[in-house]
Amino acid sequence: MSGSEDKQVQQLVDHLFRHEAGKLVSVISRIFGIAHLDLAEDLVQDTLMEALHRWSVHDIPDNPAAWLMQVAKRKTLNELKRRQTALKNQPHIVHQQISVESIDEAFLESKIEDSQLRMVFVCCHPKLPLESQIALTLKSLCGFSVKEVASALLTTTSNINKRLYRAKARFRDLKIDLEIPPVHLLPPRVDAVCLSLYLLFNEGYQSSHSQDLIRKDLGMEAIRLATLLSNAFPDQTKVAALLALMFLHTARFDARQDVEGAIVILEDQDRSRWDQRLIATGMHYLKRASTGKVLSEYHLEAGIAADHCLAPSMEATDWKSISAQYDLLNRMNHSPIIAFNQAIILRWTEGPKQALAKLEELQASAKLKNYHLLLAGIGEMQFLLGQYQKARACFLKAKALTNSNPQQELLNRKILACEMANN
Amino acid sequence: MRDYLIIIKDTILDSYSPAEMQESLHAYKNWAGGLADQYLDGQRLDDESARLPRTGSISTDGPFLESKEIISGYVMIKAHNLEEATEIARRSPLLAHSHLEIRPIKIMSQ
Repeated sequence: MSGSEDKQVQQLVDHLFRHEAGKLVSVISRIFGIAHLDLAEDLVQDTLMEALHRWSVHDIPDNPAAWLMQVAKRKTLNELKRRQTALKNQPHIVHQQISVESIDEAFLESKIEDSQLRMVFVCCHPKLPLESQIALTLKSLCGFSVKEVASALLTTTSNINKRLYRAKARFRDLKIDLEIPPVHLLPPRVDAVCLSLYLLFNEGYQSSHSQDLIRKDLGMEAIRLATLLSNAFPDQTKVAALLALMFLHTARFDARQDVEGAIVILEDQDRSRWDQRLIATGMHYLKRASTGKVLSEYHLEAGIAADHCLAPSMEATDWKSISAQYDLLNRMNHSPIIAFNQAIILRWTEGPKQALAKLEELQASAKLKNYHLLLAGIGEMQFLLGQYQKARACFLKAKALTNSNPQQELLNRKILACEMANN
Repeated sequence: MRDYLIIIKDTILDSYSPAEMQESLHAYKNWAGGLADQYLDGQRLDDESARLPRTGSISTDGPFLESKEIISGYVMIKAHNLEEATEIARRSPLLAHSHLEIRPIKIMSQ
């Protein structure tokens, strides 16, 4: 290592190792097949360790990603040679159709995105349980370790290992492998990927500042993978709508919490802290999504998010537009949660009394029995109408229904407000 | 100043995630870069290993090192004394994953 004091310490791009790991696992799995996913991950791990050791004592190369590719390719070729040697002594086993040429081809710059896409379709295969899809996506496509996946999903490593194990067993049982779905199967498969990425994004969106940074990365990973999909299939407007939604929500992320990780509700948020660049990107994708014949839930959710993001204040929000979109959503999918959101909006379009009436009706719904936000909503309306004791009782009930610390903290503040107002 | 060897010993063969590896690389380069001329060399040892018992020793003499400990590498630095060398080692990111032993390289009389 040269001893020049003025030399700036070299930096790598953020998340380079993680992203390259995902890429390399995709490429090597393409070569050996998804059944050999563990092998692909081992080879990638070896490659990164080599980079770590070499770049610690020598200069980081000008093109670190290319260096990693080269080393991974070399290790893949060696692995192929090893297998061919091993198989030579067992001539009765049919040789897998892997050649040096196919390895060269898979590592071409132009083919790498294709391998990643295949990996996305496999990780988000509809025949896998959703939990397994997300665990597998994070581990194999996003370069997270099992421990990091567990931490990101607020569960145990044992749980994650089980999900991964089950996913791999499914691949074997159902003979699933790495391929781009044929054109006629593309829409439902893209749907499955969208759902998976939507859930992944949602996990990250629920995170608070006080939690591991790794949770916040989930949203970014979901966006990255959705972008990959969108670039490959620009006509699948659902993906563009999903991207719009993700960008618009992310734009408000920083304003949703204060420095201590306490929740700041929409009407109290400092809108100057909303990221305008992200809003612009979201609107760009929404525009792209607004072509063609498909109107999906993602389109509507994105449209609602857009109405909020473009509004200077709660009072100046286009509630009529939002309400209309919720109506459409409700028709697509009779979800009591959507009905709940519609009821909340009534507070702004008509008034707390009308909103309260609607919300109380919803208490009859079985699905919303343990939904703490319903009780919190009722409490909120009662508070606005001066019914402080009733409101306090509702907030207390709501508290009992949630495990989230930030949510409980918010409810405590509301309870305190009731007590102060009553005196 | 004289030369010191920082011996890196791992007790757990941690499997690092890509994110941890990148973080580790940055931390190491920042530390080593900050040492400038005091940093002489640093190497990782590969996994292959051969051990030879001392001539005449019997098999029940036991392992030479705690069998759980594996020397995984070293860093050679220059420092004024053992305290300074230890301080340098204390500031290194190596401590996150390894035990360190700091030993002066013996100065031979001319």
